[in-house]
Amino acid sequence: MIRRTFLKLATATAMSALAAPYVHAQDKKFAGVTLRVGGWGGLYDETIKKYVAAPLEERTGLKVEMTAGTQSADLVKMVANRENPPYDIYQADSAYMVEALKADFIREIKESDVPNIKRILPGFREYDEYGVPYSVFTYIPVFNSEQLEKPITTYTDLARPDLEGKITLPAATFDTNCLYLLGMAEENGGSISNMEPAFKLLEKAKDNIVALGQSTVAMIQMFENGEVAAGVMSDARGYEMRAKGLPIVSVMPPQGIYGATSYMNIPKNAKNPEAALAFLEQMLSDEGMLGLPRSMRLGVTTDVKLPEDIAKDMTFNSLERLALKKNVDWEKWMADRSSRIERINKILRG
Amino acid sequence: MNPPLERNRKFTAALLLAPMVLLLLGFLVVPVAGVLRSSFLDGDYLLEGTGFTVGHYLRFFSDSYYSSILWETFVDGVIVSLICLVVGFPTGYSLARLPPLARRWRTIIVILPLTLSLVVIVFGWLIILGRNGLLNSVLFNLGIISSPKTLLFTRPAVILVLVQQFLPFMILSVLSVVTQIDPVLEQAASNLRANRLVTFRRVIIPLATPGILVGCNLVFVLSISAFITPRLIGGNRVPMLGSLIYERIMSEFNWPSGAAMAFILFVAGLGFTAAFNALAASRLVMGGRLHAR
Amino acid sequence: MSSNHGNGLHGERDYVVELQSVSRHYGESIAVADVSLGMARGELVCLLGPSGCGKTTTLRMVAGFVKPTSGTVRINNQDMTHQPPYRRDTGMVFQSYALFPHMTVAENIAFGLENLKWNRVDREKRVREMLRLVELPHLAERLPTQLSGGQQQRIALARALAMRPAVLLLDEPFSNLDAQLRVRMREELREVIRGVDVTTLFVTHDQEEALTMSDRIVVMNTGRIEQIGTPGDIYESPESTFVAKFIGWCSVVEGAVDATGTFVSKSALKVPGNWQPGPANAIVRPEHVHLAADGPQGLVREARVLESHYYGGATRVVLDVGGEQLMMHERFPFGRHPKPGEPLNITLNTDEIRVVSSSSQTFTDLKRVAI
Repeated sequence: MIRRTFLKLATATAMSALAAPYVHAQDKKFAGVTLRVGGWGGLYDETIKKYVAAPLEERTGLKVEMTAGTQSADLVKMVANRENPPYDIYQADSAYMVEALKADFIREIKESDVPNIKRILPGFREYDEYGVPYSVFTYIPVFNSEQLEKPITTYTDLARPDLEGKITLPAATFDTNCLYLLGMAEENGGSISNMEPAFKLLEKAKDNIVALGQSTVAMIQMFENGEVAAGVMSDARGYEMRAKGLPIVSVMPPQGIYGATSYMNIPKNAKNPEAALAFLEQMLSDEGMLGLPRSMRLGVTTDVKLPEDIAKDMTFNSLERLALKKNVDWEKWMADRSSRIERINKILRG
Repeated sequence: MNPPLERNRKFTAALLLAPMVLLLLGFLVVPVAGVLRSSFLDGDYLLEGTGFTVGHYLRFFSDSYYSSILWETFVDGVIVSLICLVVGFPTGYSLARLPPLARRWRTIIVILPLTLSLVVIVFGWLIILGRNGLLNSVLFNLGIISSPKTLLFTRPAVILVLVQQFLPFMILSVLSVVTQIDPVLEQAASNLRANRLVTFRRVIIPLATPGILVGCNLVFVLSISAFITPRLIGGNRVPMLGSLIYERIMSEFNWPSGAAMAFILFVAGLGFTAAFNALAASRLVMGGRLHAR
Repeated sequence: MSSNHGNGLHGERDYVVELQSVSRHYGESIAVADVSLGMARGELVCLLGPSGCGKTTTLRMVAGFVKPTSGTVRINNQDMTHQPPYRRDTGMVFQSYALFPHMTVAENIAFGLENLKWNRVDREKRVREMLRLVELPHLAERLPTQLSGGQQQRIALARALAMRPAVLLLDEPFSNLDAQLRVRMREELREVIRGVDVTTLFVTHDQEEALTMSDRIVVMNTGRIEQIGTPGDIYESPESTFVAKFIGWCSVVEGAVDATGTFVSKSALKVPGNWQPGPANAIVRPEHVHLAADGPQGLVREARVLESHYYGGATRVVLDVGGEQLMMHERFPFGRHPKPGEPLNITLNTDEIRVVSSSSQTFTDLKRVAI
């Protein structure tokens, strides 16, 4: 309770410091308005600034301010400041959408508000009128082709005895990254409500695991340092390592690929809802949509036409591939997170 | 005595203490009380629960997983303290026996690592201990190992990095107490036919005990509450309670449960150090009074 | 000349402690230069000198805390130069006493005995014995911090003596005591030392301490030995102006010894005798100067009072005697103290006045070069 008050106070102070003076006498629609977007840092934010924020500012005079944070910390900030949210746009992946809906601080966004919503591919908008999906990650096995004699082809392969002391998996607290477990379950007759096969396999894979990655950066470093030869990573990071010259192969498990979608949301009490809607419209435009594929080869959510040279490096570059994308019952996945984290911790404990 | 003056002095003392007391009250006592309260909340999401339950505590103690991690955390804390003591004592001692000027800049060197961000330190160790890292290549080139070994993500690696981080606290504690020990006492011991080992055991160690205790307490408390090092260097393979609490609060948003675990660690740590100090103090008094009765 | 100077240089006599041409340098500076000294069994020898004269360094070289740059330290006829302190048969009382604060009095005294592997029964017996010796048996279980300065000193002495060391070393043992206690402790200490008949080397800058306690005094200056002798020798027959000035009050009258062996000062003060011809100083002590009325037989001289200091029992008067400044200690009747400017008639007891060559300081230098 104290914390909440403190956060409110801190945010209010920051707000008043940040509030830009109103600049009038400009024709542009959002001149003098500053849109605050919660970002995820690094190249990801740079890309959104370049392909979404910059063209928008050019056209409308809207200033965009992206603040790098983590989903979990941002969620706490949003919950603690319902009346006065720190961001006009709050980003969440499929998993955190469940949390954001549970916390009930985001508003519905209709096609009438953001016309480009009609271009979103079927099945990509998982939460009815909430959240605008704009990018797709997958979490797939990857391996270093120079260090493994026998390639990995499935999630189950990660438990192969010949991989002893050679793999890294994402830490249990990364909900979307941990979809590899769902892959292991479904490849072995389990399901989201019967994860036992996955946990049995994890038990088997225990000695294979050198470490759990606390961040994607840490995991990339493990590959770079030869600490591990295989693991589970997002397709974007696989591409990143290949681009750096590492012989990393991204595996497309034939029984299905698990991924998550990134969403942009507008908080109920957002200061600049109009500008936020304009931002989303730009995000879903061809120009905005192609940014992340260009820079990180991340998947798209609309019917935008992908240039060939980019498409070849992307996971979802064909209908066959798209058919591999499995739907996830996110609500169930998130309801089980505490017990899942504890179970993984217990299994991996010596 | 002069009563008004006396009152005045008390007032001045209160005034001088006030900022410290207010600071501690506002930023330590109140938040800790808040943590204590939230650990009894009947809920598992942020602070949205209500009522009063001991469920979070029960869950901790009924699951051997948690109690064994608490135990291991303490064992790690003791090991780190002991290694720091063995390594830090000679350093602190020799620093204390240097002339003040030479001591000053060497002390700065000892403190220097504390000014580095923990993240920088941890990444430095990742580079040293990595499979392609410094240590592996040295061992390989010396022919001690035939292929690179996984050194990271092991308990010894976590302990090593914790020792490196907290060693300055031990050195400084020993340094401060040894500078209080008159070197002439060592000469006296030597004159009384005590060789260096006997002098060390019977004169230096007993007199340095306060500093040793402070150092051990500091290192122990810092070690059991560490969470970044076990997470990054241990790669989740070396669970320590600190990182578990971090996960529960920052990733699972289960603040009541995290608060309960934090409080258990707090009380257990306090109890352990109190018992240790009482024991050490009684040993010290006994040692001093061996022939007394 | 310093007749004892070369004593036992080659170990032909049975000395308990023997320093043979011991020097200690600290870089460029020389703390102790070519000190040779032999101590006979049971002897109480005092190293006396101003601070920085090398006396403490010499003591510490005997104890083994300081290694000589050159020379040999022998204890009980064994070369100990390179032995650590704990292998040397010495017992030391430190200036600050250095009692172990975490041990009781009894434990402090037993500490050395434990290291000497005495058994428990003997140890306890010896501790009781030592506490009786220093007359503090009731303090056995006290901690050092609960003792007064004088008690601490006695315990430090008991601790050092408990081991029956070949030589007892005392480093300025009274400097931490107040003036009255100092005199009492001095007498007590001397009694205890005489009682156990231990060879003792002690360091002081206090001439009174040296004169009252020692069998022999070693006067040191700038790292060198100025003179070795009994308290009487040192006081009555100083061999250098330095020794004379350092021990007791004196006036130094500059002059020269003529061919007949008589000292003549610049203002024609004569000290007859058979002195070595050459430039010389006459050492006139206050007790050589008397009021003409009550002095011994001698030439009456006229003097004028320059300064007058009342000390209770006596008055110290600085006189101008024919152009020389001389000092006199005299008891004047109450109300009759001399005032500056007043004339006085005095006699000089020239028989007792000592004349030293004013180049005598170079004697030791010459000797050092010769060796």
